[in-house]
Amino acid sequence: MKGYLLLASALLSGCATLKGADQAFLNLVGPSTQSQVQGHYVNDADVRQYYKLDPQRAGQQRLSYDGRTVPAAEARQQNLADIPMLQVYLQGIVTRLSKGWPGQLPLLQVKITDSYSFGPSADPYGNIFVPLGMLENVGSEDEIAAMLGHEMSHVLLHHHDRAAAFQQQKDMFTTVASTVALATVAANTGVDRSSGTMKLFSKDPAGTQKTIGNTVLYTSLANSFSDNVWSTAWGRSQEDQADLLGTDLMIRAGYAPRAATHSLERLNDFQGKQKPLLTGFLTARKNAMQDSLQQFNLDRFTKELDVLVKDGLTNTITATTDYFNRSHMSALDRDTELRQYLQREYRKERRARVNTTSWPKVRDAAPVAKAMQGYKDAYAATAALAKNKVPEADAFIRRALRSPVKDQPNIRRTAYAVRLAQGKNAEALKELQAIKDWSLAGPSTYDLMISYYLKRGDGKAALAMIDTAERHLGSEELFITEKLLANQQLQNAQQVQSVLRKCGQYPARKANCQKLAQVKA
Amino acid sequence: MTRIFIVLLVALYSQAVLAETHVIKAFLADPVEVVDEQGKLQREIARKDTPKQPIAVLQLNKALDLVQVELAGQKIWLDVGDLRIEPPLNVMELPCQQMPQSLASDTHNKSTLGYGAGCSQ
Repeated sequence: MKGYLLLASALLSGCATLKGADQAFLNLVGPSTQSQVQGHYVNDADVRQYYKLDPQRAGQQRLSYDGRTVPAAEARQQNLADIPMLQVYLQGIVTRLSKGWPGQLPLLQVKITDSYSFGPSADPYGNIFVPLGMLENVGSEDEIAAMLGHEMSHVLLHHHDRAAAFQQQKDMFTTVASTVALATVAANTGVDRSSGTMKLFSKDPAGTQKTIGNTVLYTSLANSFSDNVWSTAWGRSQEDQADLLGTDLMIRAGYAPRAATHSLERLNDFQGKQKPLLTGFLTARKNAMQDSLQQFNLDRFTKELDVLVKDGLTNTITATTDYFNRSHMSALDRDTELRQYLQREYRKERRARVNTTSWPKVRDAAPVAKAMQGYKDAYAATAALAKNKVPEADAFIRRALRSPVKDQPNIRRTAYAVRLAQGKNAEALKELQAIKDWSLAGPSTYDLMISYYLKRGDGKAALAMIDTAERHLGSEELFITEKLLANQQLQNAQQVQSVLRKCGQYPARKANCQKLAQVKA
Repeated sequence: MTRIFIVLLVALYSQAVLAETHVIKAFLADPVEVVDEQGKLQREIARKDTPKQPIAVLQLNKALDLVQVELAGQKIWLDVGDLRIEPPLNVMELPCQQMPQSLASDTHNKSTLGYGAGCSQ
């Protein structure tokens, strides 16, 4: 048995895409991280090495985030929700927790996302993403602090440097979604060479729009799984370390550590409900993908793209299934280990009671409650659409459109999907155009507008929207294939060559760009 | 006045009903602390001396995270932090139908799918 474990560990350690998995694997079969810690984890030698910030590293990250060099897999996937009072409250909790960190602090910024998943997440740039689903379910400020402290710890302990699994997961979903959208545009787009120059035209505008709309709907639902990284996408050892440091920070900030148990129990409940959904989802998705791919039989251009897409999707979905099977870990095991750490190191503090009054005060304050209700109504509209109950979806979205968050991307994108389902294409477009602050939009929302402009042959408008997306998401890679298409539409040969050169730097995009470039005048 | 009385009565009754359905599945701490109804330490019990079979929860004080059980013929209060209780006290409050689901069917294009399996309730 031991030989198999060592062999498995050796194999894992030799695989570049599973960097760090060997450590996690040994952690799963050997003594837990928590049981090996003596004293408070925040004072541990392993943690002390992170007290001092490396200015060069921090500078590189900042530069990357302010510029456009964030890899597509690391770019924010969700729309943000702008609820100022809630934002200030959550940031205040992070500030309070930060005071317990003995070292230098990186910039830590809370951002609320439109996801109805439970787990928050953090990126390497110090952004802590808090899904609305978490805020709908937590019972106290202490519980919020437990989850934010955990996420802060991932950043403080530089876990992103080793988070290959996380990258892999996000990359899978991004690739699936963007490939489907691109393939749909390609499949429904004809190539007219009669005028001597390449001209793309849409063969089925309504169909293309519907498919993209559906793809976006799917993406937002899939991301509910994708961003549940709190439990599934990180190595077990990183989770344990973040649990330990997060608990230390909580206690130093005067929060009740027992709240960590509350959130881990809830997470366990959430995972229990997701598991059968996920299995059905992956099976159904695989079949549907294969069905839809059979429709791609237009001309050589789309045929070649078809082969590329087909191979890519099959591999991706298989890998996604394997990934989830491999990386699932028990929230209750983590809870048990954490409680033993508390009993050993914090005998008195572990008895502190949670404050159940502070969070409800914020949650129930009119500006927060109305905004959260608006998002809930929009989510209910999406759920109704998923059941093909269009009138019900319409009723929900009408309510959401009367809320204070009515012009935020999630609400308008949902309204767009409802209008499409009603067959009101022109009104659907107006919903998207009503988005006031595009800095809140996620890639899938940008995708809709960019695809719309490309379909109309309006390369100039597409490029303007791509530029906005690049600025706000910090990633040139995300829409580089669309950028190439837009410049081709504008017949800007110089720009086409320039984009092609840049595209060559992104392994995940390179092949698509080359395929598109083959369609010449 | 009557309405307030009814609300209080329902709250009291539901607390008792809720508590009756829960059991202590495991004692996680060693020793386990016996506390008073306000959570103040009274005495300790070694884990080896705790019952190995599940014990029914008689009362639950969610605000203080305490449960009342009967041990050796005595009603005592225990801190939930020392125990594994089933079903868990902290669950997702969103109803299952608001969990992620996809389109059940799409007549025009099948690139969007449904989960099918539904909730595991």
